[in-house]
Amino acid sequence: MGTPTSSPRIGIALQPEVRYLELLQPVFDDADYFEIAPETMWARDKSGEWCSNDFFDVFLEEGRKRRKPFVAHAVYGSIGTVDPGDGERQQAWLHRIAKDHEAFRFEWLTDHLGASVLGEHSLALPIALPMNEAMAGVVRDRLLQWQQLVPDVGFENSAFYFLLGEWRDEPAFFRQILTAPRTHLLLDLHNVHTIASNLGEDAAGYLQRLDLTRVIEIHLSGGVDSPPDWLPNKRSLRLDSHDDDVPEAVWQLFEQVLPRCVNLRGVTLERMEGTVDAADVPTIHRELHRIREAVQRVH
Amino acid sequence: MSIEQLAQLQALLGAALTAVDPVAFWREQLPEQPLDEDGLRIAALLVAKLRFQRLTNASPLANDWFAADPQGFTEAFRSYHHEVVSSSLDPWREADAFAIWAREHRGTEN
Repeated sequence: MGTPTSSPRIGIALQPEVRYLELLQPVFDDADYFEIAPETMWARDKSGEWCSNDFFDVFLEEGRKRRKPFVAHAVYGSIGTVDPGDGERQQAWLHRIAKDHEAFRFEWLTDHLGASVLGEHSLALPIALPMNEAMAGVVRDRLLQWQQLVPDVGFENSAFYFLLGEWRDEPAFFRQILTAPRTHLLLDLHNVHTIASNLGEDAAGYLQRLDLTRVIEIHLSGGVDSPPDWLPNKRSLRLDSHDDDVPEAVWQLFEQVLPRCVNLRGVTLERMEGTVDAADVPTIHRELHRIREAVQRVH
Repeated sequence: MSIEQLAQLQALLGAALTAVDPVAFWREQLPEQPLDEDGLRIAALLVAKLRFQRLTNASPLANDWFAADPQGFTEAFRSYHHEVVSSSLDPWREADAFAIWAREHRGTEN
């Protein structure tokens, strides 16, 4: 499972928004590490190649001045894309991740399970994968490619709005994928809550079936319900929108799984850029402290 | 399921999620594999929302148009989204594709 640490650390996401970064300055010292999405630091140069945007230096400086390490949580890896036509883009993506890793020395690299490049369509939203051995093999191979850059790699259980199979089968699918050493699960508990809410299923039962020894990191975040006018039948679905406080149902799941995540190395609080006002800062401060208290009680 | 079948399935999903009516598209193309239709609709809306954000993050043309005429731009974006395949996750390529589409449909580049 890689290098274990004595106690899991507490992290917070850095987002590419000046206001977010300014408002949360007092909170950043409460975290032990920063999580960044590498793609938020990318721009295009005149030749069409990826280069760094201004947030590259801003994030690097936040880590340097506070002496905090980084973990990478990517968004464009599209770990489950099958089409070999995506190979060139995958290689370019990895090449740029490698450049960022040279500067940030990521402790681990994860992305979201799913495929956001589907045939000729680049969608940005991870879409569910068929849960079979061929698909597991594709994801396994991609994780091994990533390990050539960062030794500890993994995927997040995504909040899918439709599945290609039964949700109850996902834990077994994860086991099929995560067979190699130092390949991990990033357990996003709001995503578990989201799918359970939308399907009317039991989140705790799902967590019971997961191999929690593979969990390297836990994500905590909030979300909202979709507006009724989004669907013809006026039904609302829970959204993984990262734009609200962590709900009590997610805190309860956190308390349940924490003792069983024996290889856990980090718990990250996530909020999306554009969703933090001054009034939210005390709440985020309290949420970080609540995470730390829970971790210290258990680990 | 073979790798080729997986790739075909993913290509169909990509087309469904950007179709004018994702549910009708899916029912027609793959009736033997039913999906949660509410979930498919929500996912398609989120795909469009993410593309809208990707475009407005990188395209001064889109931003200016939206600022000057939000309703008109929203209608134009809806047409663009259904007519032009989103072939890159890169916001700058999205901006380039939109500029070409806008030039043809609006008679202007900037």
